[in-house]
Parts: sequence; C-alpha cells; structure tokens
Amino acid sequence: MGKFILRRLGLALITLFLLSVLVFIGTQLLPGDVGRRILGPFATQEAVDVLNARLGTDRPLLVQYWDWITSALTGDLGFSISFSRPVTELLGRALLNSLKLAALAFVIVVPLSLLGGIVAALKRGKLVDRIITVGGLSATVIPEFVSGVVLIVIFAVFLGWLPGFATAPAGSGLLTQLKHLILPAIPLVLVLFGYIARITRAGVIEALDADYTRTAILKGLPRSRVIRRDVLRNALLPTIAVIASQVGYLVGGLVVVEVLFQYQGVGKLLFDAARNADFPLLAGGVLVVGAAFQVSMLLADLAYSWLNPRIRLS
Amino acid sequence: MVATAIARSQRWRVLRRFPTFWVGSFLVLMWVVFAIFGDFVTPYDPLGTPQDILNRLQPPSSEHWFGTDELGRDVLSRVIAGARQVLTVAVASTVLGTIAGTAIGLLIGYFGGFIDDAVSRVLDAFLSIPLVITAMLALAALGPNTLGVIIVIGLVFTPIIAKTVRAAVLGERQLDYVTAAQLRKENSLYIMFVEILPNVLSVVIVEFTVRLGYAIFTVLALSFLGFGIEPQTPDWGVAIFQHYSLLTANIWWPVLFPALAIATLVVGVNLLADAISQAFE
Repeated sequence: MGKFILRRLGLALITLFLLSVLVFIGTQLLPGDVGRRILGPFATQEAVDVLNARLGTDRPLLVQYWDWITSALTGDLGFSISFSRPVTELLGRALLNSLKLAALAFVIVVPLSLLGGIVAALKRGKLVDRIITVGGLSATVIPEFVSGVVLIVIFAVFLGWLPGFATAPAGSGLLTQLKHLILPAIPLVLVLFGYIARITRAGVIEALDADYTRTAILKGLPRSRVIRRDVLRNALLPTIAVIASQVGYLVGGLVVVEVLFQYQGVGKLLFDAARNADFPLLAGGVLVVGAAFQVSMLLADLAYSWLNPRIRLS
Repeated sequence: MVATAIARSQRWRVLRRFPTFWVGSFLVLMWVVFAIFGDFVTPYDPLGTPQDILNRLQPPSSEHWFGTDELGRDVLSRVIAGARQVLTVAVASTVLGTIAGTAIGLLIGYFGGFIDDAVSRVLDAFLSIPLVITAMLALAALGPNTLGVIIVIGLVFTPIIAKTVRAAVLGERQLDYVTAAQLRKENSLYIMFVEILPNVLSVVIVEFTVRLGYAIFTVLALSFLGFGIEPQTPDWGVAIFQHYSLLTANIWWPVLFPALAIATLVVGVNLLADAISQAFE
C-alpha cells in the first residue's frame, strides 16, 4: 500500500509540474509581448515597456518561470491587472462561492444518478431502462447554458417561482442563498446525471452477470439480499472514482453557468480574466483549478484502492 | 477485403435496429441540409439587410414565425443560417484532432517504451485543465478568431484520441500479421499506416463521432462566452449571449429558439454516436 501511494504521489507531482509549464506557456509565452497584448496596438512603446518592467515580463523566460512558480508555492500568485488586488484573495472568495454551487449540485446529483443507474440496470432492456439511458444521454450532452436559459424562461419568467440570477442580496440568510442557487445547480446536475448513471448502470450490470452473483442466487439466497449485499457493493466502487473525476468537468461547466447566472465564482473570475487579458489572474486561476483536479483524482484513486484490495496489491 | 465487407454489412444490420440511430440521423441530417442549403430556405436575410430596426423584438407572428431580435432581424432565418457556423467549426476541429491523434496514437502505441511514458504524462497534464478553460486560455493569448477555435479544440482532442488509438494499437501489435510484416522487413511507417491503421479504423470512427458531439458542445459554449466568432455571423451561442439579459423583460423568443436548435443538434449527434459505438462493439 505504501509503495502504491508513493508511486501515485510521484505521478501527481510530475503532472502538476507539467501543468505549471503548460499554464506558463499559455499565459507568458503564447501572448508574445504581454504588455502589448494588454495595452493594445495603439499604446506607445514606452508605456508597453513600463508595463512589461512592472509585470516582470521583460526578463528571460526561465527566470520568469522560476520566480512565478516559487512564489506560487509560497502562496503568492501575484497581482491581478484588472482588479488591482492579490490573485489569491480574489481566488479565495470566488472558490468559496463556486464550492457552494458545486456542493449543491453534487448533493442533488449523486443520490439521483446512483438510483437512476441502479434502476436502469435492474430493469435492463425494459422501457424504464431506455428512458433513463437515452434521457440521461440527452441531458448530458446539452450545453449548460442551453438548459440554463430554458430553466430561466420556465421558472423565472413564466412561473416566477425562482430568481433568474444566482447572487443573493448581501447579508441574506442560508435559505435565500439556497433559493438563488437552485436554478444554476440544475444544468450541472443534468450534465452529470447521464454520465454517473451510465457508469453506475454498467457497474451494476457487470456485477449482476458475475459468477459470484450467480452462485449466491443458485445457493438460494433471496434476490433482493444478493443485490444489496453483493451486487451494489461491488458495482458502486468504480462509481466513486468517476464521481471524483467529474471535478474537472465541473469547473469548466461552472464558467458557463456562472456567466449565465451572473454568479461571482471561480468560473466567472476566469472568464473575466480571459476577456480582460489579465494574465496573472488567468495563470493563477488555471493553476489552482488544475491542481484541485489533480488532488481530487489522487484522492479518488486512493479511496478506490483502499476499498478494492485487488488494485492495491497488484 | 471480403472479410471487412461482411463485417461492414453486419454492423449496418445491427445499426439499423437501433431507434436512436434513426432519430439521431434525422436530426443531424436536418441540420446538415440547413447548413448547406440554408441560403435557399431562409425567409429573410439572416444578416438583416435591409435593416428593419422598427420591427425589433417583435414576438412570434405569421410574418416572423420565431419573432425578431434586438436589431429587427428574423430569428428563424438566423437559426437556420447558424447551423453552418457551428457544423463547420465542429467538424473541422474534430477532423484535425482525429488525424493528429490517430498519428500520435499509432506512433506511441507501436514504439512503446520511453516515448509512450513521456507523451502519456504530458497528455495527462493537458487533460487536467477543463477543455473550456484551455480554450479560453489559448484564445486570450492568441486573440479570439474562428480559426483559433478550430485549432484549439483540435489540439485538445489530439491527446484524448491518441490515448484511445494507442490502446487499440497495443492490442494489434502482438498479432501475427504485424510480426509477419516485420519479418518481411517492411518499414515501420508502412506497418503502422497500411497494416495496423485499417484494423483500428472502427475505434477511430467511434472516437470521431463521440468527439464531434463534444466539439459542438465546446464550440457553442465558447461562442456563448464570446470567444472566437465575428459579431455579425449568425451563431446560436452568440444569439443567446446577446439576448439572455432580455429574459427578465419577458422577451424569450430570441433566446429560446436558438437554444432549442442547439438541443436538437447535440442530442441528434450524440444519439447517432451512441448507436454507432454500440454497433461497433
């Protein structure tokens, strides 16, 4: 087990290093003259030079990378150009907001999609199965802003039941905040539902067809007990890994949902950074998001191997 | 050749039995026809010339079935014309990613060893950034334009497709026909592209159709976010972005109809992809 964890940690570190290089390339190398990209074609060369000197983008690339990554490791991601605030401060507040939205989406989608997948598997080939499978697939592939606007049209415009934007007035209670977050959470739920339900269904079907299940049934154990004790326990293992791996999707999905519902989360922040050519903020944001994804993958792998000795030992 | 022909007709027989295949084909075909022949069916000029600013934001009527947008342009015409933009960009980027990904997958799958390990690591790092964010990053750096969107999505798909093709090549590499070709002293490129490629082609086709769905999803998300589309071009994502703030004023038609267009297209492509991957497995 120790060796497995070490190996997995090593891989995660290498990936993180490569990620930082990619982000650096994307935000410092690709724009060419960073100062010129920010100020536009009509700025004077002096102004561009001054900005480059202030941002440190006039130094050799290796020095810039080393400086950036060592400060990032000590928790300093530099200063946002468009907000004139430290990147970490902006990211901290935005991450907290996104976390609320993501948590609500997960709380709704996990039980729902597990149930959907299990029901579909147990009724394999029947109408219920087809409805869940095809319906889930369709829900998964429709972009969040499409389901989002349809939801706003129905629930905010026609029925007037829920607010069509996500930010609750400052200082409002938990219930009001929750009310504002329900509509934005549903597009995320829809996209995740089909995906998780599909994996769950496949896992349950595999377990149902396995020899140990047949043995248990032939032994005369009641079907409901076999399903609860043998099938579900084995089938839900891979699902855990899949749910954790969706954190990466979630951040991408949050960009669109947060822009549509005007919510000050990390997705909206990255969007603003990209639109304003705010490269320090963009670099810090993408690095943090990528790192969060790596950590969640790592935890998923560890949880999976802890629950499944066959992987741990091989 | 005979064997592949038989396999092909069997697949077709399986494929025909899926209702999802027929529904998907119908929806996709409808939008492809609109994308190609859209100019002949649009009731008005999608670019809105001559300008009819007095008739802006009219609700659906017998004259304008889907109403008019904030510049007085016919929403139905813009929905029909918008099919071309999304399909061109999505297909071009998927083709780019499939060609590059298949070539890399063949190379790292066939040679294995250090190249395989090194390339796989870089691919993993690449994949830990969500696609929309990678695209935003690149477009912020390069400046937004349609060609940029095609290249960025193609580049992001390359590693994903490479991984799938690599796995398939690993399975083929052990087989006798590859050993036979190696003993004949064929060069590696010949073995990869002439001997192995036809045998992993079904994997490539499945991957292509699945990726096409994702490409449409991403192209639309990016155009909704305002990256990569020239403002005048009729585009569903842009139309929604430009008009969704009007929803609170009960003006829903310039938003809802492009949204439904998107929904039918992505569902169609993915039903088709799902049927094809089931038939090929």
